[in-house]
Amino acid sequence: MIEIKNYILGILAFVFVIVGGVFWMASIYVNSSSLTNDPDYVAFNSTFNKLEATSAQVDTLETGITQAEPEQGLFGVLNSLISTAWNSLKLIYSSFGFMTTAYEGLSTVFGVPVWIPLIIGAVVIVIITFQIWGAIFQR
Amino acid sequence: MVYNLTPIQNSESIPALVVAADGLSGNVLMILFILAIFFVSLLILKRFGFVYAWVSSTWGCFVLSSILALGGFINIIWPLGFLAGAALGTLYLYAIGQ
Repeated sequence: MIEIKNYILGILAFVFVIVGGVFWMASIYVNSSSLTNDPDYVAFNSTFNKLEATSAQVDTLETGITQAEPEQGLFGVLNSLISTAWNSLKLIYSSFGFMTTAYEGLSTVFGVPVWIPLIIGAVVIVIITFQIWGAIFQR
Repeated sequence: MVYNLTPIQNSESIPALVVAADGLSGNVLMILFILAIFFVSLLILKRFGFVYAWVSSTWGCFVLSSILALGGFINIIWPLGFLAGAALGTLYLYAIGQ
C-alpha cells in the first residue's frame, strides 16, 4: 500500500532520474545543435524538470523553522512549527500536482490518451487522501 | 518492388554495411535492435523481480538509445520513452516501499 513518506521519496527519486537522464543526454549532445532544437526534447524537459520548484518548497519548510524567534515567547516557536507543518502539507499536495503535470507531460510527448494520466493521478490522490483521513480518525 | 542496393554495394566495411542497411530500412533496423536488447535484458533480469528488471533494462536501453539517437539512427523519442519508463518504475519501487 502506498504510504505518503515513500510516495514523496519516490517523487524525489523520479525527479532525480529524469534530471540525471536529461543531464546525460545533454552531456553527450553538447556539440550537437539537433538536441536543443528538437521539440519533443524541449517539451519533455520542460515538463519533468521541476527540481528547482521542489527545492524552493523545501527551502520554505526550512526557513519556517530557522526563522522561529524565541524572543516572542513560547507561541513564536509554536506558531512557526504550526506554519511549517502547514507548509509541509501544502508540499505534499503540490507534489501531487507535480505528478499530475508529469503524467500529462507523458500524454503530450508520447501521444498517450489524456484520460489515462488523469485517471492515474486521480487514483493516487484518492489513495493518499484516504490514508490521511485514516491516520487522522484512526480507522 | 524495386530496391536501390547501391548503398550496400558501395559499403566497404561491416559498420558501413550496417549503416547502409539501417538507412535502407528507414531506421527500423536500429529500432528493432534496441527493442531486442530491451526485451532480452528484461527476460534475463526477470529472476530478480519484474520491476527491478524493468528499471534496469529501461535505464540501460536509455543510455544505449541516446547514443544511437546522437548518431541519427533512431528518433529522439525512443531514449525519452526509455527514460520515462525508468523514472516511472523508480517511482513505483519507492511508492510500494521497496
